[in-house]
Amino acid sequence: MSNKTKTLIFLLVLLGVLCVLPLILSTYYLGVVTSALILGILAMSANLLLGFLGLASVGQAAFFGVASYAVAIYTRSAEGAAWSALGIGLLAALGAGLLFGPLAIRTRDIFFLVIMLAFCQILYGITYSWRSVTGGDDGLPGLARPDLIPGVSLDNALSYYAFVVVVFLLVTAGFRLFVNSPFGLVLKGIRDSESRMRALGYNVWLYKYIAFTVSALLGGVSGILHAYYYGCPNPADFSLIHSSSALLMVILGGPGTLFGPLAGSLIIVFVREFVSSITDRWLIVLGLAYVCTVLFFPNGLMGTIASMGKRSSKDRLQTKESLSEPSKQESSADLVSADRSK
Amino acid sequence: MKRRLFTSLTRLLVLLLMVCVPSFGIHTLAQAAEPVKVGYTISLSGVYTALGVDLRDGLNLYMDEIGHKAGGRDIKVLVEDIGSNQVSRALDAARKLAEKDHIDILAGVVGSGSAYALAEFVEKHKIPFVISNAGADDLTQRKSNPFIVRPAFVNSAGSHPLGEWLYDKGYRKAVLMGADYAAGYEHVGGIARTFEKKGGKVIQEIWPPLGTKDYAPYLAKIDRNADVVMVFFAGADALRFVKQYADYGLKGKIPLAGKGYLVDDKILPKQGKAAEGVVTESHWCLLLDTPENKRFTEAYTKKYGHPPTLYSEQGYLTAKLIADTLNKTKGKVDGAKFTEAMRSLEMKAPRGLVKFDKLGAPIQNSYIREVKKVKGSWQSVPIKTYPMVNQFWIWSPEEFMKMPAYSGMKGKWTK
Repeated sequence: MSNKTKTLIFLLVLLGVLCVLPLILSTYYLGVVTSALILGILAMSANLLLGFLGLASVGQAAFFGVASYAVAIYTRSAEGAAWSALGIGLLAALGAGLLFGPLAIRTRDIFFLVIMLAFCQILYGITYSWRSVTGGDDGLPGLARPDLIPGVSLDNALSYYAFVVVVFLLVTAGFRLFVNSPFGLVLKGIRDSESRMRALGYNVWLYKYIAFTVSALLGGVSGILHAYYYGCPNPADFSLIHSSSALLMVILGGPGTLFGPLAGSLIIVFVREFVSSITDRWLIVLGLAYVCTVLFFPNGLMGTIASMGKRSSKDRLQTKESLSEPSKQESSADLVSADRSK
Repeated sequence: MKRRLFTSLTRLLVLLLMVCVPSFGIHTLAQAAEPVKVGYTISLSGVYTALGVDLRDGLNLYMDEIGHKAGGRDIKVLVEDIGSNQVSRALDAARKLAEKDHIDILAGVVGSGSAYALAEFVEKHKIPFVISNAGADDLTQRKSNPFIVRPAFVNSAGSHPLGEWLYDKGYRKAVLMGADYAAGYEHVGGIARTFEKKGGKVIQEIWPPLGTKDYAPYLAKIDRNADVVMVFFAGADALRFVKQYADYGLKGKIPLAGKGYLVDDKILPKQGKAAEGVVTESHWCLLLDTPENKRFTEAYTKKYGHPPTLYSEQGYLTAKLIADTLNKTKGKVDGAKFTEAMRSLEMKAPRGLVKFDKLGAPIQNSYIREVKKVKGSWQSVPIKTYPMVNQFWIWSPEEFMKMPAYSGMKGKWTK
């Protein structure tokens, strides 16, 4: 079975599970899953940078926040404009990506991390002090969910969940196409050796710039969904906790994998949900989970599952034919980049 | 081989734990709705932690006094930490309380941003909402809804009498100073408006950012011709500000006046002599001489080992408001009707008599206090009481709400 069919099967299974969930879950837990899916998209945007370019960003919330504010500000000025509001939100995130990109991708490693953090803080400062437009620290409450098609309101838990599921699956499929395209392969090449790719004649800067912008766009998608889900963009959207938990989701789930970010966001959202009803110190539990991940599964949840599967198939191969060809070992449907961190 | 097996097993175990632990949550089913459930969303992490802890302790004290029972029903309080200024976290907590725990009443909330968002939430879910702290004016003015009642305060309500008092004291030229955010504009704006209405003049506005570490450049800017400096700072900001105000020789030259948070009972011992003579306004003071306050202060000190703060009293009153209303409705909680019952209540609180107006804001005494040394320790001593102050002061609600909101008045007072 090729990787492609496995991904397809996985995607269909996911779709099936997501379709069944509303039947067995209460409204409350449906909401929790919705918010996990929304954060999953944000994690996916961080994953594009971390998993495919090797750039750890603690500033994904910048695009997230820009898009959610754009939607809220636009909706306030123009009544009843659902589709155009979505478009404006995406444009804002795209604009932010295009603007910050040239500055950010000049740097790498810790410098990239810090410059993204700085962008986030600048935006936080602007939203906090520009009261007349952004509502300052009170945020912009009162953003109502639109009727996407006349008659179908998103204003209840189930319909909004369905909407988020559709967007999530589209984004996931798009992400898979993107990273498996020749373009995505070049990105992996850049991650592994930037100088070699440059020597081969690739315009590394342009590739990075485009990837950065796409990541910004994904962050924007998540921001728009988040804005409509809570109905209240506020400066905390740009907070460090927000950005770093997106990064944490990727690391937990497995950088460079397709479903890792979703797994990470599900874990974090449900652990928080469960732990916060027992103790107020849930960040400690999150920290422990993070330490465990780094110690035991440096490839994240999905990466570990994949490599476990790989090892068992390797054992089988060795006993049967005592032959192993690296290309046949990719057993997980999920593993987009199998050879990472070797 | 054995070692490899062991690591694999450990991996598997941790993996299992990480995946399974969260899913347990799904199976905890909501319990039968026998007791009245009160969701108490307060800040137990972040910059508002101290406030959240006092709000919780105050509420618990009253609940213990009545044995968690009122109107013939048990009261179950579900405390949720909503962080400080994390609006989406506050909404998550509220959703959890409403949709999973099926609370009857929502209470708490320290920060105003979260309060605005929750105000919309309760309107949608038709849950009575008792705001125990968040003071933003518009919660019970331009953006009020039929579910809100606030046994705490309205930012600018207590400022109005202070502005008049300062004018009557003979001050004519004022410098406004406050932390650069909505609460700062509202607290200071209220003082400025009544001060100007009487004939006083604002000659300068200075707005240092929230959390400023060094006030020296801002203190240097103060116009030395001023008769009084009207300020709003709270918490660690207030501690630093008052100390630096004295260090830079301004104490004794230009009188300092502001809202009670400037010298609240937790930081006053650390400010010490630097705070001498500072005039503030508050809706509650430790030294208030009412039987209710004496009983409250003694019980609180006995239980927790330290004297209460105004937040403790607000938590206490939140519990009293809920319990008294349950007694009145015989344990029935019915959305907006319950809020209506709460608003019609008259309570003898530690801070004095408390009533509510049509929009849910408190009508209560406003105390002007001065920092003096009492029996060897620095205290805010009440020197004048403005009885039963309402949030619109001398104006009618319509008149008042037609004037520009204080939160948009930054930079416009000197004109």
